[in-house]
Amino acid sequence: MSDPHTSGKAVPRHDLIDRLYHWVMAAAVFILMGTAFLPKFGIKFEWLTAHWISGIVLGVIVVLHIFRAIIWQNFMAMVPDGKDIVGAWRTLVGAFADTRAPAKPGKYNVAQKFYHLGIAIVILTLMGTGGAMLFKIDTPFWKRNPYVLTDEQWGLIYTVHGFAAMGIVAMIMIHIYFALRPDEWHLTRTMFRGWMTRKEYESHHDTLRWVPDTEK
Amino acid sequence: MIVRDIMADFELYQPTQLKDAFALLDQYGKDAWKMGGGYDSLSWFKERHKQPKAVIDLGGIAEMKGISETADGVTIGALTTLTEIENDPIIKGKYRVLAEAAAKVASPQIRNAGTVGGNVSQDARCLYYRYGLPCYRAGGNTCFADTPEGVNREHALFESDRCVAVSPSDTAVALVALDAKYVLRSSKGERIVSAEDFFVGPKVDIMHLTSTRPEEILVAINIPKKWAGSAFYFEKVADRNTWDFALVNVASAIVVKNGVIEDCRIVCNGVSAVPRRLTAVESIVKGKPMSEEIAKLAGQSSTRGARPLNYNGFKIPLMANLVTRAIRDAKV
Repeated sequence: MSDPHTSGKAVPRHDLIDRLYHWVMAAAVFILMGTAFLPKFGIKFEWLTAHWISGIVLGVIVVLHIFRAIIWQNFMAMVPDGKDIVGAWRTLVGAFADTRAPAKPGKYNVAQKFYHLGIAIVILTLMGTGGAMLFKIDTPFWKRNPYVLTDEQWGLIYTVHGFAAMGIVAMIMIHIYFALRPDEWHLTRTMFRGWMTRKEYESHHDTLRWVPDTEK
Repeated sequence: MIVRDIMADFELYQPTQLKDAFALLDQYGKDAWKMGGGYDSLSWFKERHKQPKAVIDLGGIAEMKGISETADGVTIGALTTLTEIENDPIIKGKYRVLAEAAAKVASPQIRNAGTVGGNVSQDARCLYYRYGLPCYRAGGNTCFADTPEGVNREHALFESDRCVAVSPSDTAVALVALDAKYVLRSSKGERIVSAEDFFVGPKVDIMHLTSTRPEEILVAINIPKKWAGSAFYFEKVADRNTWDFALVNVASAIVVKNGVIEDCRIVCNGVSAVPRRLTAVESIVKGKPMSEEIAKLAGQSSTRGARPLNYNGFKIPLMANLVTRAIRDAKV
């Protein structure tokens, strides 16, 4: 069997560094969720240190990701544009009446773009509120001082952090659901091996809207 | 404005059988409050900071009272009063450190009604928490004691995590030193936990000082005979000599043979949220002669890792001196 990379059958989608980013982020988010919610369900353990360290790890890689996306990657590839909206509308209408095939997306479909936008908002909210909460605990680097904010401001921060935490649980459930759906496996696989087959590329994507880096 | 000193209404139950108490706990769940002697409970009720729907007064359950010698040591019912422990010939003869600790609790009147189960299970005495402020221990999201302006001379030196309250119990240190086992029972069964594991710190559970589950009752405390007749020491230092909680207290149980420390357990309270067993100190002194030098070394080692707050730095030399004395002055 020929090597898909050398035979041109492999279409690169996620670089190794992006896949590492995804999986480190996933690990951090799962640790954050476990350390946040398991004690609420009565499973008692020393959760705080793991929670804030995971939060800092998540914060650092998110900042690196933002820099990488702005400077080295095609930032607009993840931003919903007019074609996405039109395509989404056609898909929606087509589900009820239209028999025409829905428009193919570029590298990311409209659902992925909106999902990314949503989880970016949720994670940045968690980072902001969680970062403020670090003033409430002693770490090897600083002493706690809860008086940096008023009681009302702290109340708002805790409320927003709590809602955002519930939000991320819902979003992770949605993410895993779609990742496990058989019709999405070609995308899930790319987050492990980094590439999809040319057949998958041509059948699921608009080759004019997404030209792989190796073919530019 | 909160009206204090007038308790909120609750249903009072006074079962005389454990099974009836378990049934009430199962019925009311987290709305139930278990009461022994009542000294911790009534202050909470009068301040109206705790307003349970049902109070289960365990005082009428005979099987939770009394001290009896067994083949393995001694069993103390959780409702045994501190005065009974203080005066019991078995405890005084074989486990003197516990009798001495019980004798130092509060005042004679309180010891006459206060129970050993209540003494080890009592809640933290942090003044901010007791005042009803919404701190971490009360389910809030801050600690008022560990702040730049917080009054914290009675608070923790070790193992604090957001909350800096300490375990206030005098008998707890003696029971950890004696390697006691706590018998916790519910309608679902029984579990026995060591005295050390009975207490939990804020890292694990910031709202409770013990691992007792809502549906469980501490029914008895078993003391193994391993430490019977050892050399013991107990000392409590408080702002006044009676009716006060310890700033720091210490208990030790030491087996000495031919002037050499063969085995020991040394425990301090008032310095962390759980009675602090000084295992590093124990390792230092085991196998060494029971001397002034070793006792001093032990005292100095005991405070390693302490992180004083703004106003409790005095506890460091206090703890070091108490540990020194707990080794040097331990007597059979």
